[in-house]
Amino acid sequence: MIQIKNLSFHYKKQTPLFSDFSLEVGNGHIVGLLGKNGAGKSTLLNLIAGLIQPQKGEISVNSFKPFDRKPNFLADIYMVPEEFSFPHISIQTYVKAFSPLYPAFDQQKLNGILEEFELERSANLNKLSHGQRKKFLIAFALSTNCKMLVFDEPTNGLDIPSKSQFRKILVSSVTDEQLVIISTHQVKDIDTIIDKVVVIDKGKIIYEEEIQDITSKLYFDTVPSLTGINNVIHHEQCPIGQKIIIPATAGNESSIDLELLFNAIINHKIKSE
Amino acid sequence: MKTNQFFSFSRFYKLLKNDLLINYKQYLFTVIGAFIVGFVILYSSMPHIHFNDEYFSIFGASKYKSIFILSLFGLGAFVGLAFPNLSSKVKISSYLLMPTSIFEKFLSQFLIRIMAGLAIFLLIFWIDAHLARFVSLSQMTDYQTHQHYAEGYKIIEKFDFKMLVYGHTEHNQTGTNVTRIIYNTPFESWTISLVFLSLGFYLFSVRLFFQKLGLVKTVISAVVLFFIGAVLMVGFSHLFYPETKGFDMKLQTYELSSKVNNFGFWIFVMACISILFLLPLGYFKLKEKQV
Repeated sequence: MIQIKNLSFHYKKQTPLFSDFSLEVGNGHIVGLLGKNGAGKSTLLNLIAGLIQPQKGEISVNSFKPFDRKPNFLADIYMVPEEFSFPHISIQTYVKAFSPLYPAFDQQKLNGILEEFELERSANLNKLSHGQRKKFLIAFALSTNCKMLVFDEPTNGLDIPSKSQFRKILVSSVTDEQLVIISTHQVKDIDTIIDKVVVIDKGKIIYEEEIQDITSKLYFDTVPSLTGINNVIHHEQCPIGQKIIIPATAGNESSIDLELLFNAIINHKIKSE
Repeated sequence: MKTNQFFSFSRFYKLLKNDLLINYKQYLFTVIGAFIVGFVILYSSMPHIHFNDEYFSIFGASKYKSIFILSLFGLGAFVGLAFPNLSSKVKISSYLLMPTSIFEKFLSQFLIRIMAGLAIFLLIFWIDAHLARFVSLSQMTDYQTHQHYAEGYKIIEKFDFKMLVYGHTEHNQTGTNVTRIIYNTPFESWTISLVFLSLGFYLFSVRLFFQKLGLVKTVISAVVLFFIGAVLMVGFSHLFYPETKGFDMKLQTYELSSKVNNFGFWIFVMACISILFLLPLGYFKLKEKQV
């Protein structure tokens, strides 16, 4: 569980990135953290993981202050960063070296995911491609069974089949005890797995809504033209016509188009209530 | 449990195991490299020809001590390369997120780089010194006869750690033959050891203030500090002793006791203070480290 109250943060000699920022998310969610470049997504993830210290405000993650970096806190959070490096060892040795540090680590789960990702345990991590290394890191993260999993651009570098495997594995392995935060620009990669959307811009939350609530309020469709369609909240041209967001009517739900929703939010066409 | 958040033996053991599993090859190559380099330096420094019985220099305490001090640079480099995971932003994140306490992270590096490093260094030096002597003695030839010289053990002394507290030699009036070796007093030995220890702690702790090229920057910072200290001493010399010329340093020394003078005591105090100061400094720097 994350509780952020009145957070202020700025890097040295830079304008404030967050001021009076608050957020509360309970366990059992897969949250999509979206925002434009420089909105502060990665900084927020670093603050949550305790890698940087806020200047003001309070952050509580699983009842710990992240920056205290208490071992019990660190044993229950795993972060898959956008950029990473591995020592020159095999997958097997890496698992042997790091898994004992995570009390809830599930070896069988790891074996299953590695098999699904077609990764050999004997492979040297630094001889794998970037995508394969990322898949291993994702597999390891999920196998730690940490209460908090943080993914920064997890699908960057993954090929198309791997992206779909990632979605499948993530959904099947996450439990109600866990909270997963995924920060990404590749919104299409995660629109079927997240159950909550948080959009930040200029250090503020401009949209926070659960997917269920979004689809009960908004209807996403693709139409040949806008002619005869009233109440269009947002529309974008696409090869076969127009992608539109209109208010949902009772009993008429659609699949969410996260990219379209994001653009509508950024253009201030949609606000959370 | 509060104590568990600070130190847990089981977690510490896992951290050490983690370090060894990842870096065992690097440590192994370092030990092998140190062994070979140490042997080569010692062997090449030892005499291999006996010229005559009247004029020969003994390879003894003085030579062993000089080579030992030279070898300490190698140990210093190993210590200064502590916390290898702090060399880039990407590695720092993974290191700080490892589920162990900051104290455990700090202690593991201290144990590996300083405690184990020093113990293995002393062992390697001892083996190298004995091995180099053994090989040199077996190869020593007499200049006149070109035959193997069997009494080489008189020329190359057996290494003993006691030789490291060697002070100087007293000569007879002709200045050629050594009459006796004067070892450092216990106070001098302690002071020298503490100075080397504080230099090691400096390399270990100040490295935490730098990200890339930590060892190089740490050494540069030490040189800068030394230079500032020297300039201050020159300045004070000019201030309190107006007759001082140029970059000379003038220091009035007086005996505190029969074996301790004020300068030696000052060095001793500075070494003690820096030892007490540097480790907490490093620990808190690691604790406050951010990406």
